[in-house]
Amino acid sequence: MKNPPRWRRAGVVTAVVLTLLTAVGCAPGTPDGDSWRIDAQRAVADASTAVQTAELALRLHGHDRIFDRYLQTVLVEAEKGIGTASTAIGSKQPPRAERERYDTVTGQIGEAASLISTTRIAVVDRETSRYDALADRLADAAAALSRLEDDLQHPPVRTAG
Amino acid sequence: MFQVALGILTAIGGFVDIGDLVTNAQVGARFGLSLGWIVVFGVIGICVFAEMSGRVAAVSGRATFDLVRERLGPRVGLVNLVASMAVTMLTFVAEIGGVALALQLVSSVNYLLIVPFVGFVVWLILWRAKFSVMENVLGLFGLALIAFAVALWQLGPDWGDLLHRMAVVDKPGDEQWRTLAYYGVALFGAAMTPYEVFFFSSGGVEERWTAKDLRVMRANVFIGFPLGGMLSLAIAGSAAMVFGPLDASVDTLGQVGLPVAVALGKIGLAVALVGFVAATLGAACECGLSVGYSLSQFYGWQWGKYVKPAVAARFHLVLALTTILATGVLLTKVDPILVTEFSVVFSAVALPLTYFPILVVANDPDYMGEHANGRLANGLGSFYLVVIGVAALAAIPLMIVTRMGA
Repeated sequence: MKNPPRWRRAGVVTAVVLTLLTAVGCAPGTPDGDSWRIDAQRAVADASTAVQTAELALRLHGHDRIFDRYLQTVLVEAEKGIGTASTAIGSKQPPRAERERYDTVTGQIGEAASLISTTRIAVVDRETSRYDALADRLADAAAALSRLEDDLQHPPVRTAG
Repeated sequence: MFQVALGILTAIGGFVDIGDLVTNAQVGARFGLSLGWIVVFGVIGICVFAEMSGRVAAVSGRATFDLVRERLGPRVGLVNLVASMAVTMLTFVAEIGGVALALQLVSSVNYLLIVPFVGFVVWLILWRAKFSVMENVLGLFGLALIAFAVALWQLGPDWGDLLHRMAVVDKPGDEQWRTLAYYGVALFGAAMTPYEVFFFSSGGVEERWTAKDLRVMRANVFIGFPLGGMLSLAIAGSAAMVFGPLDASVDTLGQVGLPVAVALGKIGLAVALVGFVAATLGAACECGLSVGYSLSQFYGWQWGKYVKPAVAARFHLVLALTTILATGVLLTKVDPILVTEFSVVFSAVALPLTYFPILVVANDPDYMGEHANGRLANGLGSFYLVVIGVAALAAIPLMIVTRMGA
């Protein structure tokens, strides 16, 4: 019996590879718990950086150490940074055991992003009377993100029942 | 004496570019000054090779890469040309983006709207400005980055601790060694960026150096470059002082300037902003010229700003086209900071292709006569070539496994 020609075998292999690639490309893969936690920690750390930078810039403005336009640009950049972090972790399929923390992570990053946007709006509109209160809220958000980052260093705690 | 002082000052002011600004601040925020020794090591390396390429220009009256094709043949010359030009082009994109980002900090206008303006200004400088005016004016304004050194002093670090951290190879507990290695390679690439040597050697020919100018050239290299390197360390140190305790990373140019605002307020920040614009604009012009120099020198076209544009038409056409290309790349909305990060890593990859030919030409008595490399220059050059080779081999694997140091 004759073997199929080489080009046909190559064609079959190519078709199989393309099918697999298409299947893998269509559905987001589910990372294991450890790699999801690393990604989540990274996203939270990036969000925390954006929040802390926004707070620092706002407080510097309060002490008249930074220009309005510089502050505005730093906030726009912080907003962009936290948006990237939010998209990065939001688009990752969490493992079942991490569903609860996925909600916490995306929720807290979303809240922080919203707070930075609120700050940017206040800065563009030069509502200087709100700066101190916004800086305090940013500090609280940064502290909450820092706690979450620490929590993500460990696997989720299994509750009884 | 005036020429020596001017040369040193412009060498200091022209040393730092967007790669140094971003990479040093990133590393300082994350690792403190624990990678500061890489900056020192890289600065010594660039001094070794810049002195060789400057000596080649002064003695032979020809730029190093003018001689590469002749000495090593067209095939090696072409590989060298393609690799170095690709990296310089990437750096050119990053520098134009850096100028736009710096102007965004001043104006709060989106950098994408500023990019075409910057591209036009860079082209205008390359087309119209005299070489010496361009080098001296931008170099002197680049000295404004001394604000970072003053800021570091004002922030009041524990100097003993800073120096100790530089002397000991260590990392923060929550970081991985491979991430440290990745940033080490990036810092090394930023300190030894290939375009600096192209520009230095071709600039020597533009300024018609002769063997009599060797002392001035060496003063520029051995005093100006290390002092420029001190500015890099000051950027890292001030980022470490402000962002280290917050456990925050540095991802934007706006963050790079914040430590100066913390220490010196608005005046210091304004000075630092002048430094940002001058350093990135100067580096953009140097990169643009370097692309034109290397291509023209390889193909034997008339080149240089010391001849009229009509005489060096192809050289000026390359300058115009590369400026349009770099501006166009930025208008695709690619993140200039990301381009900067890629440019410093790929600089590390291209280093052997840039520096090996310099060592060969500077060692050739046919070209250099009595000024050929001595034992010290050869020993240091060979040692650095080995280190450069290791860094080049490690750069891309480290970039992949660390996900660009994430």
